[in-house]
Amino acid sequence: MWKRIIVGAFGGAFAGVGVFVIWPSVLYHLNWWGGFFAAGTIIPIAWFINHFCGAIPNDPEGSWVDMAFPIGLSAIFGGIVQVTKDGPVRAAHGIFTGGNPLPSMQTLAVQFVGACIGGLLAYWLLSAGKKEA
Amino acid sequence: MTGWTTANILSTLFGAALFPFMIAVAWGKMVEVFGAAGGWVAGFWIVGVSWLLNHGLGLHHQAGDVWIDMAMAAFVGLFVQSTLAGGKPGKAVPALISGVLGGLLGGLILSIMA
Repeated sequence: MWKRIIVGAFGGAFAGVGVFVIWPSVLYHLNWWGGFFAAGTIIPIAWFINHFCGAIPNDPEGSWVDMAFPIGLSAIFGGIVQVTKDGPVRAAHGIFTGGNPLPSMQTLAVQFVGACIGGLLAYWLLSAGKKEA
Repeated sequence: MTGWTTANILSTLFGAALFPFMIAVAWGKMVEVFGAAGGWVAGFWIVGVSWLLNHGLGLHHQAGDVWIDMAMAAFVGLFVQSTLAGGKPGKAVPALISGVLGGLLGGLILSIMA
């Protein structure tokens, strides 16, 4: 199992670094449409490796751990790097680069509530018809 | 909760609900119908539109300097949805550990890049 955990950590780090370098950089060069297309650049291949090929060791009977988890943590720990025409520039600080995470916990808390609502709504839709809800 | 308007709170709640909802409802269905190619399209379209709404156009209010990505909403929402659907949180522990290690490793690489 520890081998699978290491592979999962590698796959998650690939997704996290890819997202927070490619995304802000494409955004810098192509604005909003760049941000939109950045999704198609990194997310599909990261999904294919992490979930379709199963790099992240999700148990079929377990709750789902999405690659979004290491992606989100990557930004919290390492911040965001934007490659501009002048080279790599730090766009946001993470804990490792001296950012203060405490004010951001407000966003995380509000987002947590919203995410639970979204998960509940999805469950209602997906379980409809399977049993009387 | 300093610096938050009611609009900030509501838009962050809405954006955070939207992303995991779309993934849970549409991503699996796309794979079911089109196979891996469906996942490829879902990765582009669902995440692209979500990013545009949440970060590009600003539904997600950032209260601090450390970036809270919509990805955390996806993780929480999908964990909640799959647990409600019968998934056992205890069996997710190895994946959770690999997720934390992946986040630490990714953060380390990001912190030395600039």
